[in-house]
Amino acid sequence: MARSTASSSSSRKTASPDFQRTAALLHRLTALAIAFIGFPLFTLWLLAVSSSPENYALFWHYIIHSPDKNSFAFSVNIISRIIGVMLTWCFFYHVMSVIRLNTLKRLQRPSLYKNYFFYSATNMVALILTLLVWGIIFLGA
Amino acid sequence: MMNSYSDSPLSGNHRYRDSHRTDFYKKLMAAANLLLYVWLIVSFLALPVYDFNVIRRWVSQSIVALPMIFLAISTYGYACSFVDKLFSEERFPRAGLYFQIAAYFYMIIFAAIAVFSILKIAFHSGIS
Repeated sequence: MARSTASSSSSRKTASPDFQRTAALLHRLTALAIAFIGFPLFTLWLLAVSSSPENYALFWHYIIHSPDKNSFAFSVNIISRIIGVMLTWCFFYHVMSVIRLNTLKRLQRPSLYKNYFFYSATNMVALILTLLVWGIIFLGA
Repeated sequence: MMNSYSDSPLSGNHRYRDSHRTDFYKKLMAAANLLLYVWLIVSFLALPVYDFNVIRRWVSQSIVALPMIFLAISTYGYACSFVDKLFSEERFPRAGLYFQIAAYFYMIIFAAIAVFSILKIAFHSGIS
């Protein structure tokens, strides 16, 4: 009876294989998003800064802020902000996931790095940092 | 059997990632990426305005331009190691190499444009 209680509590702590697979998939998807969407957007911004004030204004108008709410650029602004929030979350999730893997795997205890608590903590910290960054951006704006 | 062609680090299922040196470089690039991206986010948020001249003056400083170049290079390196793992031969026995080359070119193009843009701003005058 005691053994069954102990095994049920440990299985409650350890994340299920499906959950672990989803977390591993998310880790790779976030890396893909950062490498193939985030970095090219950063490069586009650098290219706009390096070219001319007109090009930077165009980038600003379409990607960051358009004053006219009925324009096409305003719709693009909304999409770019959603992509920005998602990319920020991807970055923080990926960073937290790498930190979790590298620190907890080093301890040579699979029960620890497969623990449900650390997966949840990773998600929560990534979410809080994303909200913090975008809160600063919106409050600053 | 001991040292056959397929066991060499440049062939087989894990072409690049099995050597300890590659693992070390990957961890180094991950740490560099973490530090540089956090620096970029914090210093970007600390800017008073995001005007063209302010941004240009900011990027043209060598203390900003150099870390940005390092950031582009380390992002490229880390993404390449990720691509090696993602399109490994064990998952894509036939098309893996072509996927890898396509992804490498994609990353090389954007990293080169990023470095070129930073250098152009840094060597150009701060105010246009």
